[in-house]
Amino acid sequence: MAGVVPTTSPFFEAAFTYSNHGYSADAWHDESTPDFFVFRSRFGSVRLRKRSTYPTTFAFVNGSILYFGYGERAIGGEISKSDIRTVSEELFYFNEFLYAEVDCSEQHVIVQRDALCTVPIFACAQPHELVLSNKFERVCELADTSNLHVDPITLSEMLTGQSTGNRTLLKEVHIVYDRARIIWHNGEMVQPTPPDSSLLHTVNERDGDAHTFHTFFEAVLDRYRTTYIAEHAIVATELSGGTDSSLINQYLASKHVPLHAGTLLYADAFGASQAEKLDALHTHFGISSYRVPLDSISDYPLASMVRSGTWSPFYHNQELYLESYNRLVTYFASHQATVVFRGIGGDELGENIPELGALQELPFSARFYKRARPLELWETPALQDYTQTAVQTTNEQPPLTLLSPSVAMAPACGNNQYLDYNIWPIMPLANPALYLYCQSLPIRYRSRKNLLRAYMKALGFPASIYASPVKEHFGHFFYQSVQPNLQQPFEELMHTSVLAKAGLIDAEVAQKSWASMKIRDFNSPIDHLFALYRLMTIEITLQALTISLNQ
Amino acid sequence: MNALVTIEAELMAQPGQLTNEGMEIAPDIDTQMAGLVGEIDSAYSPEDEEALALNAAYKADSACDSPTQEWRE
Repeated sequence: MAGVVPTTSPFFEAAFTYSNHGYSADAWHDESTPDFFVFRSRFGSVRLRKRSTYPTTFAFVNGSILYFGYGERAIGGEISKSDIRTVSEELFYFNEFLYAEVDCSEQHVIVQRDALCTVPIFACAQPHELVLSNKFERVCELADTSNLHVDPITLSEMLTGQSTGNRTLLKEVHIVYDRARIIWHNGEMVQPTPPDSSLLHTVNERDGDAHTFHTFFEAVLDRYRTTYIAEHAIVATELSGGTDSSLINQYLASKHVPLHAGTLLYADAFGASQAEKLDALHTHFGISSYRVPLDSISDYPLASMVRSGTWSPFYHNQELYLESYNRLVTYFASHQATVVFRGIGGDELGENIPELGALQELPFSARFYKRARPLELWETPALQDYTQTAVQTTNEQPPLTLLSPSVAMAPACGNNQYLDYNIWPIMPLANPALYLYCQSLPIRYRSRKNLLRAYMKALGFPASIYASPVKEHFGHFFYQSVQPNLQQPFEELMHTSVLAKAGLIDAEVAQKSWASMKIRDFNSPIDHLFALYRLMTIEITLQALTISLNQ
Repeated sequence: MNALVTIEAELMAQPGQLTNEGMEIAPDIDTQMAGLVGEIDSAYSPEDEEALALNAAYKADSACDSPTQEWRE
């Protein structure tokens, strides 16, 4: 693995500054390198990784306009010129693209994204400034951070144990999701809202035919194989022993696709059951998965920041086990992998039964309190007032994306670790058409993944894979790696706590809670420890950016 | 539903895409799936299914926001 190093630059970044006086005779200068497109003008700069295999990236200048992006350029261009509310959904089911036009003389930016969102895009729009990147931390580096504010909804959700939807901790930094279009003109931001997907309608009808599931499933994977695996692609796959990744590897093996499989391997008792599954799969379809043992001593969450002694802002939903994952990604990179198949989305296909209709009808505050957990010991009554004020001042509906609501966040959580090495993540089980199809099936097929398990049985999988009595999970590793290793950094952050200064938490009680945590009752301390860990992630970003809650 | 019908028709119409090429493990998968789907059908009464719908919980956990998450791949 020697010699394999991640890129030091994000996959993509762009920054533009509006001038009241305009930029007369402004022009783009090509400063590209062998690895990156780099274009600069007085209006702004764009840096984009070059890819010569699927999906290829592009950047070129015509007059005062810079065009850049990746994937289906023609489709992206066509959509960006249409009324987004009237564009057919089908155009988004399989086409991956990012399409951007930047006119430096008109100070005009258009960014149109796809529905699959493989590359996360964070956008910070402030008066006179627009910054974009696939990395939250890079946006924070490039943007003027002197006037950034906490997003009270995200903070309230994080502090009450909720999934945090499609927002970041900063009010000005947005995640550019499903089919979104950014139009930034003369320093003003316009974001036309895409229409809701047809998912809600489909769920209500539920008239899908389970007998055609396997045919449809294979047709979708065929489309991914023939479209996304270019002629000289080197394919990596995640293969953990679970149902979802096993299905994808089975498919690729059946089509004789050469691949490098790999997985993280649990260190405790779960490691033994996982290893048995991997051995069974090796016997079943001949694929051997490279195993990266989880190491709680060296690969605990946030280890790289702790070792460097510097706190940096980061997206709070980023992969929790990034340190461990990096070892796996490095392995794939050492084999020059250009794409990696991920199993993200399998749960949503085979199991989840979203009450989308009911959720759409609930006001935001009702949804919030339905999901909120009781206050922790270290949380003060002032936090209750803070969250109450926050939820009463908004009435946002949950995003109804083409991706499933939970998968819509997945690329922003975990794809950058691959993009850092120029490995393109492919997530066929997250495909909107496949999701729509499965959500149209009656519930009995999706309860307990009944249909997916039946499909695996029909394919001849060992029962230990599709009907495993053991469900391995990260809980024990989280406790072992976080509780001892992050106690001291946590205490240091509590001494300078922004949340304590605002009266939302009691920092001393929080420290005592961390120190006294014992793993007697397995699940309960994990939940409390995760609540404290969440607290830590909030403090890191706020303290790194010197943002207070009193602005 | 129209969007799904359109994409289904398009996918199914792709020549040569829907073979069982390489699927030596399950050459009679159509028959097997029909049987297994039938087993699921017979295991659930309309009342069972109604109960499942009533108890359905919206699961909006992100792929990486829980320390006890199972493998997601």
